[in-house]
Amino acid sequence: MRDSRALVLKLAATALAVGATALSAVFVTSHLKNANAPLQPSVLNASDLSGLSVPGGGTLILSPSVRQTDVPPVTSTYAS
Amino acid sequence: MLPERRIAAHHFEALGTSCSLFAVDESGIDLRQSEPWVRALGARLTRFDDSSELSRLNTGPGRWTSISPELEDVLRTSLRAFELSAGLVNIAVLPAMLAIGYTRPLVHGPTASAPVAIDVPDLPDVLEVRYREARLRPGCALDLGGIAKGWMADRLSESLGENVLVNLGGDLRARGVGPAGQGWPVGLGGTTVLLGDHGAATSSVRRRRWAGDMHHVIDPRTGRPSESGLVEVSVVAATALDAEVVAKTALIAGPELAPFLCAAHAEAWWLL
Repeated sequence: MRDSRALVLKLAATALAVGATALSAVFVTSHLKNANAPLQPSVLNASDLSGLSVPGGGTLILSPSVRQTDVPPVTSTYAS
Repeated sequence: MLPERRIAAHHFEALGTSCSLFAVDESGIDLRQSEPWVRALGARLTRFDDSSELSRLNTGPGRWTSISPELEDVLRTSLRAFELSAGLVNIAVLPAMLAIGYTRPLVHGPTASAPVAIDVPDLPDVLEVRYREARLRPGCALDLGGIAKGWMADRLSESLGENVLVNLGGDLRARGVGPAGQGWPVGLGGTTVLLGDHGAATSSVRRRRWAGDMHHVIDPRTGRPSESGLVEVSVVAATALDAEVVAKTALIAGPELAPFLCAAHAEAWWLL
C-alpha cells in the first residue's frame, strides 16, 4: 500500500514537472517578441527607417514620439 | 491643439557657450534666477580655471579628495557613460586634448600641438568615487565637457517646472507640452522637430577645428581627434545626458555602427 502511494506521488510529481516544462516551452516560443515590451526601441515603429531627406544633407530618422513640424524653432541643438 | 501661448525666454553666455531657457509665459517662472546657478556650477566644473573644484581634483596628489554632491554625481554619471559607450565617452581624455593644443578656450586660440598621441586610460582604472570623495590617479586629468552640460540641463529643467525648455550650449532638455500643446519646436539636423519630455544634443567635428585636421572630439582608442567618417551626429533621447552620450558615441563609432547604436538608444537621430 505504502509502495503504491509513493509510486503515485512520484508519477504525479514527474507529470507535474513534465507538464510545467512543456507549458513554459510553449509560452516562451510564442512570446519571443513582445511588441509591447517596454525596452523595444521605439524607432522600430518608425514609418520610414530609410530616413528622411533634410536640407542640410545626411540621414534623419524619427520615431513616432518625435515629429517634424513647420513651426519656427525656438532654439536648436548645435555642436556641443 | 491648444492655443499658442507666449514664450518667456532668457538668454545668457555661460559655460563658454550660449545658454537659453524657455517657459510658457503664464507659468510665472523667473528664468533669470537660474542663471547664477549655471554660472556657479560651471565655474566649479570647468578645467580652464586652476581654482575650480575639477582642477583641484585634476592636479591633486592622487589621494581621496573631498568633492561636492554635484561633482560626485557628474563623476558617477561619467563612469556610467564610459560603460554605456564601451569606453568611447571617456572624460579622461584631457591630457590628449592638451597634447593637440586645446589648452584654453578656443576663443583665445589653440596652442602648439605635440606630434605623438597620448594614451587615454580607461576611466574606471584611474577614477574612484565614493560618498563625497573622489580619487584620481596622478598624471591623469578629466574634462567634463558635454557630460556636465547635459547633466546640468537635466537638473535645471527638473527644478524649473513642468513645461520648460533648457538649452545649455546645444545640450537640450524639454519638459511638457510646449507652447501649443504639441511639444517644443527645436531645430535639429537641418529640420525642426517637436520635443516632449526629451533631451537632444549634437556632437560635431565641424566646429572647434584648427590647424586643418585638429578638433576637440578625441577618440580614446587613438588619443587623437576622431576620424570615424562621421562629422556630425544629432540625437533625441530620454534626457539631455543620454542624448549627449549617444551622439558622441555614435560620432566616434562611425557610420557603420552609429545607426545600430542610435536605433537602440535614441528616439530620433541625424547622421552626417
